[in-house]
Amino acid sequence: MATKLKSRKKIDQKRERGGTDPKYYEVFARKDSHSELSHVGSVEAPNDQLAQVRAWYIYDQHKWKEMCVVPLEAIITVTEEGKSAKIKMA
Amino acid sequence: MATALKDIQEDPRERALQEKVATGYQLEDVEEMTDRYKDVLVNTVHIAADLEVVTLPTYSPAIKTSPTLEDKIAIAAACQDELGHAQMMYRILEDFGYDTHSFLFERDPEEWRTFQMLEFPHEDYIESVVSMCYGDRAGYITTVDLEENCSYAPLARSLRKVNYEETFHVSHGERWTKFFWNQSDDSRRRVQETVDFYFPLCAAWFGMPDDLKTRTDQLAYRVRGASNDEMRQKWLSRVVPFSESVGIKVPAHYDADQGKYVLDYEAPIYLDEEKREWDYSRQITWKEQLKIWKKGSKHKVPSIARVISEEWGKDLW
Ligand SMILES: [Fe+2]
Ligand SMILES: [Fe+2]
Repeated sequence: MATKLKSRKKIDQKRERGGTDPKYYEVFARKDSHSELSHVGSVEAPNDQLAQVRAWYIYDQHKWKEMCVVPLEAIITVTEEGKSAKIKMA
Repeated sequence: MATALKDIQEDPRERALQEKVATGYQLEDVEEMTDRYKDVLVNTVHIAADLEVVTLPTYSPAIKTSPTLEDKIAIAAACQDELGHAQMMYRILEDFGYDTHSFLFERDPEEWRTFQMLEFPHEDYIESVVSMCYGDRAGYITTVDLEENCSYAPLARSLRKVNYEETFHVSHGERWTKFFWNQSDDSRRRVQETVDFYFPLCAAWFGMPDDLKTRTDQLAYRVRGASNDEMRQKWLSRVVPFSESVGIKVPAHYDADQGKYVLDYEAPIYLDEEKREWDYSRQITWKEQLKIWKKGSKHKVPSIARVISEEWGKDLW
Protein backbone atom coordinates (compact mmCIF):
# COMPACT_ATOMS: atom_id res chain seq x y z
CA MET A 1 0.00 0.00 0.00
CA ALA A 2 1.49 3.31 -1.02
CA THR A 3 1.03 6.42 1.05
CA LYS A 4 -0.38 9.51 -0.63
CA LEU A 5 1.88 12.38 0.19
CA LYS A 6 0.52 15.90 0.29
CA SER A 7 3.59 17.16 -1.43
CA ARG A 8 6.79 15.64 -2.61
CA LYS A 9 10.00 17.52 -2.85
CA LYS A 10 10.75 18.25 -6.47
CA ILE A 11 14.34 17.61 -7.29
CA ASP A 12 16.03 19.51 -10.02
CA GLN A 13 18.71 16.94 -10.84
CA LYS A 14 20.52 19.38 -13.07
CA ARG A 15 20.73 22.08 -10.42
CA GLU A 16 21.42 19.87 -7.42
CA ARG A 17 23.90 17.48 -8.91
CA GLY A 18 24.81 19.03 -12.23
CA GLY A 19 23.27 16.25 -14.28
CA THR A 20 22.13 12.71 -13.68
CA ASP A 21 25.59 11.29 -13.02
CA PRO A 22 26.93 12.02 -9.57
CA LYS A 23 30.29 13.73 -9.23
CA TYR A 24 32.47 12.85 -6.27
CA TYR A 25 35.09 14.74 -4.30
CA GLU A 26 37.45 13.35 -1.68
CA VAL A 27 37.96 15.45 1.43
CA PHE A 28 41.33 15.98 3.12
CA ALA A 29 42.02 17.83 6.35
CA ARG A 30 44.51 18.42 9.14
CA LYS A 31 43.71 19.32 12.73
CA ASP A 32 46.75 21.51 13.40
CA SER A 33 50.07 22.40 11.86
CA HIS A 34 51.72 19.31 13.35
CA SER A 35 49.18 16.81 12.02
CA GLU A 36 49.30 15.17 8.66
CA LEU A 37 46.85 16.17 5.99
CA SER A 38 44.68 13.07 5.88
CA HIS A 39 41.71 11.73 4.08
CA VAL A 40 38.57 12.32 6.13
CA GLY A 41 35.77 11.49 3.77
CA SER A 42 33.96 11.88 0.52
CA VAL A 43 31.12 14.05 -0.80
CA GLU A 44 28.97 14.16 -3.88
CA ALA A 45 28.51 17.62 -5.41
CA PRO A 46 27.77 19.13 -8.84
CA ASN A 47 30.57 21.71 -8.61
CA ASP A 48 33.62 22.77 -6.60
CA GLN A 49 31.77 25.40 -4.61
CA LEU A 50 29.07 23.03 -3.37
CA ALA A 51 31.71 20.40 -2.66
CA GLN A 52 33.51 22.91 -0.42
CA VAL A 53 30.32 23.70 1.47
CA ARG A 54 29.22 20.09 1.85
CA ALA A 55 32.64 18.96 3.03
CA TRP A 56 32.77 21.74 5.61
CA TYR A 57 29.33 20.97 7.04
CA ILE A 58 29.45 17.19 6.94
CA TYR A 59 32.96 16.68 8.26
CA ASP A 60 32.62 19.14 11.11
CA GLN A 61 33.81 16.82 13.86
CA HIS A 62 36.92 18.98 14.42
CA LYS A 63 37.82 22.61 14.04
CA TRP A 64 40.12 21.84 11.14
CA LYS A 65 43.16 24.00 10.57
CA GLU A 66 43.13 23.10 6.90
CA MET A 67 40.64 21.34 4.65
CA CYS A 68 40.57 20.75 0.92
CA VAL A 69 38.57 18.78 -1.62
CA VAL A 70 39.86 16.92 -4.68
CA PRO A 71 37.68 15.68 -7.54
CA LEU A 72 37.88 11.87 -7.45
CA GLU A 73 38.56 11.82 -11.19
CA ALA A 74 41.69 13.93 -10.65
CA ILE A 75 43.30 11.28 -8.47
CA ILE A 76 45.79 9.18 -10.38
CA THR A 77 46.28 5.76 -8.88
CA VAL A 78 49.73 4.22 -8.56
CA THR A 79 49.03 0.92 -6.80
CA GLU A 80 45.74 0.28 -8.58
CA GLU A 81 46.78 1.16 -12.08
CA GLY A 82 43.94 1.78 -14.46
CA LYS A 83 41.31 1.63 -11.74
CA SER A 84 39.62 4.42 -9.86
CA ALA A 85 40.97 5.28 -6.40
CA LYS A 86 39.69 3.18 -3.54
CA ILE A 87 40.21 5.71 -0.82
CA LYS A 88 36.52 6.49 -0.36
CA MET A 89 35.51 7.53 3.10
CA ALA A 90 37.47 8.58 6.13
CA MET B 1 14.14 -16.19 -0.61
CA ALA B 2 17.34 -16.63 1.37
CA THR B 3 19.75 -19.25 0.22
CA ALA B 4 20.27 -21.95 2.80
CA LEU B 5 23.52 -21.70 4.72
CA LYS B 6 24.40 -25.16 3.45
CA ASP B 7 24.41 -23.90 -0.15
CA ILE B 8 26.87 -21.14 0.64
CA GLN B 9 29.17 -23.45 2.48
CA GLU B 10 29.22 -25.65 -0.55
CA ASP B 11 29.95 -22.79 -2.94
CA PRO B 12 33.76 -22.63 -3.00
CA ARG B 13 33.93 -18.90 -3.81
CA GLU B 14 31.67 -17.99 -0.93
CA ARG B 15 33.53 -20.29 1.40
CA ALA B 16 36.90 -18.91 0.35
CA LEU B 17 35.78 -15.37 1.10
CA GLN B 18 34.38 -16.40 4.48
CA GLU B 19 37.68 -17.99 5.38
CA LYS B 20 39.61 -14.96 4.17
CA VAL B 21 37.65 -12.44 6.22
CA ALA B 22 37.79 -14.73 9.26
CA THR B 23 41.57 -14.18 9.34
CA GLY B 24 41.04 -10.41 9.47
CA TYR B 25 41.28 -9.66 5.75
CA GLN B 26 39.48 -6.46 4.74
CA LEU B 27 37.98 -5.75 1.34
CA GLU B 28 38.50 -2.38 -0.34
CA ASP B 29 36.59 -2.85 -3.55
CA VAL B 30 33.29 -4.09 -4.91
CA GLU B 31 35.18 -6.29 -7.36
CA GLU B 32 36.46 -8.47 -4.54
CA MET B 33 32.97 -9.35 -3.37
CA THR B 34 30.84 -12.40 -3.94
CA ASP B 35 27.10 -11.95 -4.55
CA ARG B 36 26.31 -13.21 -1.12
CA TYR B 37 28.76 -10.83 0.52
CA LYS B 38 27.46 -7.86 -1.44
CA ASP B 39 23.93 -8.75 -0.40
CA VAL B 40 24.57 -8.82 3.30
CA LEU B 41 26.79 -5.73 3.24
CA VAL B 42 24.38 -3.59 1.23
CA ASN B 43 21.50 -4.73 3.40
CA THR B 44 23.37 -3.70 6.53
CA VAL B 45 24.25 -0.24 5.19
CA HIS B 46 20.76 0.28 3.78
CA ILE B 47 19.16 -0.26 7.18
CA ALA B 48 21.84 1.85 8.88
CA ALA B 49 21.08 4.75 6.49
CA ASP B 50 17.33 4.56 7.16
CA LEU B 51 17.96 4.48 10.91
CA GLU B 52 20.11 7.62 10.76
CA VAL B 53 17.46 9.57 8.86
CA VAL B 54 14.47 8.61 11.03
CA THR B 55 16.17 10.19 14.02
CA LEU B 56 15.16 13.53 12.47
CA PRO B 57 11.37 13.29 12.77
CA THR B 58 11.87 11.47 16.08
CA TYR B 59 14.07 14.09 17.76
CA SER B 60 12.84 17.24 16.04
CA PRO B 61 9.54 17.72 17.94
CA ALA B 62 11.65 18.30 21.05
CA ILE B 63 13.24 21.32 19.38
CA LYS B 64 9.87 22.99 19.76
CA THR B 65 9.24 21.92 23.35
CA SER B 66 12.71 22.06 24.87
CA PRO B 67 13.00 24.76 27.55
CA THR B 68 16.03 26.83 26.57
CA LEU B 69 17.79 27.96 23.45
CA GLU B 70 20.78 25.79 24.40
CA ASP B 71 18.57 22.69 24.48
CA LYS B 72 17.13 23.54 21.08
CA ILE B 73 20.63 23.93 19.69
CA ALA B 74 21.72 20.63 21.26
CA ILE B 75 18.88 18.74 19.56
CA ALA B 76 19.38 20.51 16.24
CA ALA B 77 23.12 19.77 16.37
CA ALA B 78 22.45 16.08 17.05
CA CYS B 79 20.04 16.00 14.10
CA GLN B 80 22.68 17.58 11.88
CA ASP B 81 25.17 14.92 13.01
CA GLU B 82 22.72 12.13 12.21
CA LEU B 83 22.11 13.48 8.73
CA GLY B 84 25.87 13.61 8.24
CA HIS B 85 26.02 9.94 9.23
CA ALA B 86 23.31 9.16 6.69
CA GLN B 87 25.28 11.00 4.02
CA MET B 88 28.21 8.67 4.56
CA MET B 89 26.01 5.62 4.31
CA TYR B 90 24.58 7.01 1.05
CA ARG B 91 28.07 7.60 -0.28
CA ILE B 92 28.79 3.91 0.27
CA LEU B 93 25.47 2.77 -1.18
CA GLU B 94 26.10 4.77 -4.34
CA ASP B 95 29.04 2.51 -5.10
CA PHE B 96 26.49 -0.30 -5.24
CA GLY B 97 24.17 1.46 -7.66
CA TYR B 98 21.89 3.27 -5.23
CA ASP B 99 20.66 6.72 -6.20
CA THR B 100 20.56 8.83 -3.04
CA HIS B 101 17.88 11.23 -4.25
CA SER B 102 15.39 8.57 -5.17
CA PHE B 103 16.36 6.46 -2.15
CA LEU B 104 15.61 9.37 0.15
CA PHE B 105 12.75 11.16 -1.57
CA GLU B 106 10.98 8.73 -3.86
CA ARG B 107 10.55 5.58 -1.81
CA ASP B 108 7.22 4.99 -0.12
CA PRO B 109 7.44 5.50 3.65
CA GLU B 110 6.25 1.90 4.24
CA GLU B 111 9.36 0.63 2.52
CA TRP B 112 11.71 2.29 4.98
CA ARG B 113 13.38 -0.13 7.33
CA THR B 114 13.36 1.34 10.78
CA PHE B 115 13.51 0.00 14.32
CA GLN B 116 10.83 0.51 16.96
CA MET B 117 13.21 2.36 19.28
CA LEU B 118 13.27 5.30 16.84
CA GLU B 119 9.61 5.30 15.87
CA PHE B 120 8.15 7.41 18.69
CA PRO B 121 8.47 11.18 18.24
CA HIS B 122 9.78 12.75 21.42
CA GLU B 123 7.16 14.51 23.47
CA ASP B 124 9.58 16.64 25.45
CA TYR B 125 13.25 17.33 26.02
CA ILE B 126 13.50 14.79 28.85
CA GLU B 127 12.48 12.10 26.38
CA SER B 128 15.23 13.26 24.02
CA VAL B 129 17.98 13.12 26.63
CA VAL B 130 16.81 9.75 27.99
CA SER B 131 16.71 8.51 24.43
CA MET B 132 20.28 9.73 23.83
CA CYS B 133 21.39 8.13 27.07
CA TYR B 134 19.91 4.69 26.39
CA GLY B 135 19.11 4.66 22.67
CA ASP B 136 22.13 6.41 21.17
CA ARG B 137 24.18 4.19 23.50
CA ALA B 138 22.57 1.15 21.85
CA GLY B 139 23.20 2.57 18.38
CA TYR B 140 26.77 3.41 19.35
CA ILE B 141 27.45 -0.18 20.38
CA THR B 142 26.38 -1.46 16.97
CA THR B 143 28.37 1.15 15.04
CA VAL B 144 31.49 0.62 17.17
CA ASP B 145 31.26 -3.08 16.42
CA LEU B 146 31.17 -2.22 12.70
CA GLU B 147 34.11 0.16 13.00
CA GLU B 148 36.19 -2.42 14.83
CA ASN B 149 35.22 -5.54 12.93
CA CYS B 150 33.65 -4.82 9.55
CA SER B 151 35.47 -6.61 6.74
CA TYR B 152 34.51 -3.84 4.28
CA ALA B 153 37.24 -1.31 5.03
CA PRO B 154 35.55 1.82 3.58
CA LEU B 155 32.58 1.28 5.92
CA ALA B 156 34.78 0.60 8.95
CA ARG B 157 36.80 3.76 8.24
CA SER B 158 33.77 5.96 7.71
CA LEU B 159 32.39 4.99 11.10
CA ARG B 160 35.28 6.60 12.93
CA LYS B 161 33.64 10.00 12.56
CA VAL B 162 30.18 8.59 13.28
CA ASN B 163 31.29 7.04 16.54
CA TYR B 164 33.24 10.10 17.56
CA GLU B 165 30.04 12.14 17.28
CA GLU B 166 27.86 9.51 18.92
CA THR B 167 29.95 9.73 22.10
CA PHE B 168 28.79 13.35 22.38
CA HIS B 169 25.15 12.33 22.03
CA VAL B 170 25.52 9.69 24.72
CA SER B 171 27.36 11.91 27.19
CA HIS B 172 24.90 14.75 26.54
CA GLY B 173 22.10 12.29 27.30
CA GLU B 174 23.74 11.03 30.48
CA ARG B 175 24.52 14.48 31.81
CA TRP B 176 20.98 15.80 31.31
CA THR B 177 19.25 12.61 32.43
CA LYS B 178 21.12 13.02 35.75
CA PHE B 179 20.22 16.71 35.84
CA PHE B 180 16.50 16.10 35.41
CA TRP B 181 16.63 13.23 37.91
CA ASN B 182 17.79 15.72 40.54
CA GLN B 183 15.90 18.82 39.43
CA SER B 184 12.43 18.25 40.92
CA ASP B 185 9.99 15.49 41.87
CA ASP B 186 8.11 16.07 38.64
CA SER B 187 11.13 15.86 36.39
CA ARG B 188 12.36 12.77 38.28
CA ARG B 189 9.01 11.08 37.72
CA ARG B 190 9.17 11.96 34.04
CA VAL B 191 12.71 10.53 33.70
CA GLN B 192 11.64 7.24 35.33
CA GLU B 193 8.50 7.03 33.18
CA THR B 194 10.55 7.64 30.03
CA VAL B 195 13.18 5.05 30.99
CA ASP B 196 10.37 2.57 31.73
CA PHE B 197 9.21 3.02 28.14
CA TYR B 198 12.61 3.11 26.45
CA PHE B 199 14.54 0.41 28.26
CA PRO B 200 12.81 -2.60 26.64
CA LEU B 201 12.77 -0.76 23.28
CA CYS B 202 16.54 -0.28 23.46
CA ALA B 203 17.19 -3.83 24.67
CA ALA B 204 15.25 -4.99 21.59
CA TRP B 205 17.41 -2.82 19.29
CA PHE B 206 19.89 -5.71 19.13
CA GLY B 207 17.27 -8.06 17.71
CA MET B 208 16.34 -11.61 18.51
CA PRO B 209 18.31 -13.79 20.94
CA ASP B 210 21.18 -15.68 19.30
CA ASP B 211 19.65 -19.12 19.80
CA LEU B 212 16.59 -18.11 17.77
CA LYS B 213 18.33 -16.22 15.00
CA THR B 214 18.73 -18.17 11.78
CA ARG B 215 20.50 -15.67 9.54
CA THR B 216 24.17 -15.55 10.44
CA ASP B 217 25.51 -14.02 7.20
CA GLN B 218 26.57 -10.81 8.90
CA LEU B 219 28.85 -12.80 11.17
CA ALA B 220 29.91 -15.40 8.62
CA TYR B 221 31.16 -12.66 6.29
CA ARG B 222 32.37 -10.56 9.19
CA VAL B 223 30.28 -7.58 8.18
CA ARG B 224 29.99 -7.25 11.92
CA GLY B 225 31.90 -8.97 14.68
CA ALA B 226 29.61 -9.42 17.67
CA SER B 227 26.37 -11.37 17.90
CA ASN B 228 23.05 -9.87 19.02
CA ASP B 229 23.41 -11.21 22.53
CA GLU B 230 27.02 -10.09 22.83
CA MET B 231 26.10 -6.54 21.85
CA ARG B 232 23.06 -6.54 24.14
CA GLN B 233 25.32 -7.66 26.97
CA LYS B 234 27.72 -4.82 26.25
CA TRP B 235 24.83 -2.35 26.31
CA LEU B 236 23.51 -3.72 29.60
CA SER B 237 26.97 -3.53 31.13
CA ARG B 238 26.96 0.23 30.47
CA VAL B 239 23.37 1.27 31.11
CA VAL B 240 22.61 -0.86 34.19
CA PRO B 241 25.51 0.48 36.31
CA PHE B 242 24.77 4.01 35.05
CA SER B 243 21.10 3.72 36.05
CA GLU B 244 21.95 2.21 39.43
CA SER B 245 24.48 4.95 40.17
CA VAL B 246 21.83 7.62 39.48
CA GLY B 247 18.99 5.77 41.20
CA ILE B 248 16.90 5.06 38.09
CA LYS B 249 15.09 1.73 38.21
CA VAL B 250 15.60 -0.57 35.22
CA PRO B 251 14.27 -4.09 34.51
CA ALA B 252 17.73 -5.73 34.44
CA HIS B 253 20.47 -6.64 36.90
CA TYR B 254 23.87 -8.29 37.21
CA ASP B 255 23.60 -12.00 37.92
CA ALA B 256 26.69 -13.05 39.88
CA ASP B 257 26.08 -16.77 39.32
CA GLN B 258 26.01 -16.40 35.55
CA GLY B 259 28.63 -13.67 35.61
CA LYS B 260 26.61 -11.44 33.30
CA TYR B 261 23.79 -8.94 33.07
CA VAL B 262 20.30 -10.32 32.60
CA LEU B 263 16.90 -8.84 31.83
CA ASP B 264 14.26 -9.22 34.56
CA TYR B 265 11.72 -10.29 31.97
CA GLU B 266 11.65 -12.68 29.09
CA ALA B 267 11.34 -10.89 25.73
CA PRO B 268 9.18 -10.34 23.80
CA ILE B 269 6.49 -8.71 25.89
CA TYR B 270 3.40 -6.76 24.95
CA LEU B 271 3.61 -3.01 24.42
CA ASP B 272 0.54 -0.80 24.60
CA GLU B 273 1.62 1.79 22.06
CA GLU B 274 -1.12 4.27 22.95
CA LYS B 275 -0.29 4.32 26.66
CA ARG B 276 3.39 3.67 26.00
CA GLU B 277 3.29 0.94 28.63
CA TRP B 278 4.80 -2.52 28.72
CA ASP B 279 2.70 -5.35 30.09
CA TYR B 280 5.27 -7.64 31.69
CA SER B 281 2.60 -10.20 32.51
CA ARG B 282 1.75 -10.58 28.85
CA GLN B 283 4.32 -12.41 26.81
CA ILE B 284 3.92 -12.47 23.03
CA THR B 285 5.45 -14.86 20.51
CA TRP B 286 8.45 -13.96 18.37
CA LYS B 287 6.24 -14.30 15.35
CA GLU B 288 3.94 -11.62 16.72
CA GLN B 289 6.91 -9.45 17.67
CA LEU B 290 8.41 -9.65 14.19
CA LYS B 291 5.07 -8.65 12.72
CA ILE B 292 4.88 -5.61 15.01
CA TRP B 293 8.43 -4.60 14.11
CA LYS B 294 7.75 -5.00 10.42
CA LYS B 295 4.63 -2.87 10.49
CA GLY B 296 6.22 -0.12 12.58
CA SER B 297 4.54 2.19 15.08
CA LYS B 298 1.63 4.38 13.99
CA HIS B 299 4.06 7.29 13.79
CA LYS B 300 6.39 5.65 11.30
CA VAL B 301 4.68 6.56 8.03
CA PRO B 302 3.66 10.13 8.96
CA SER B 303 7.18 10.79 10.29
CA ILE B 304 8.89 9.62 7.14
CA ALA B 305 6.33 11.42 4.99
CA ARG B 306 7.37 14.65 6.71
CA VAL B 307 10.99 14.04 5.80
CA ILE B 308 10.17 13.26 2.20
CA SER B 309 7.97 16.29 1.66
CA GLU B 310 10.25 18.48 3.80
CA GLU B 311 7.39 19.81 5.86
CA TRP B 312 9.34 21.20 8.75
CA GLY B 313 9.31 24.95 8.73
CA LYS B 314 6.22 26.51 10.26
CA ASP B 315 5.73 24.58 13.45
CA LEU B 316 9.35 24.04 14.31
CA TRP B 317 10.48 27.29 15.88
FE1 LIG C 1 24.02 8.45 14.14
FE1 LIG D 1 23.24 9.82 17.69
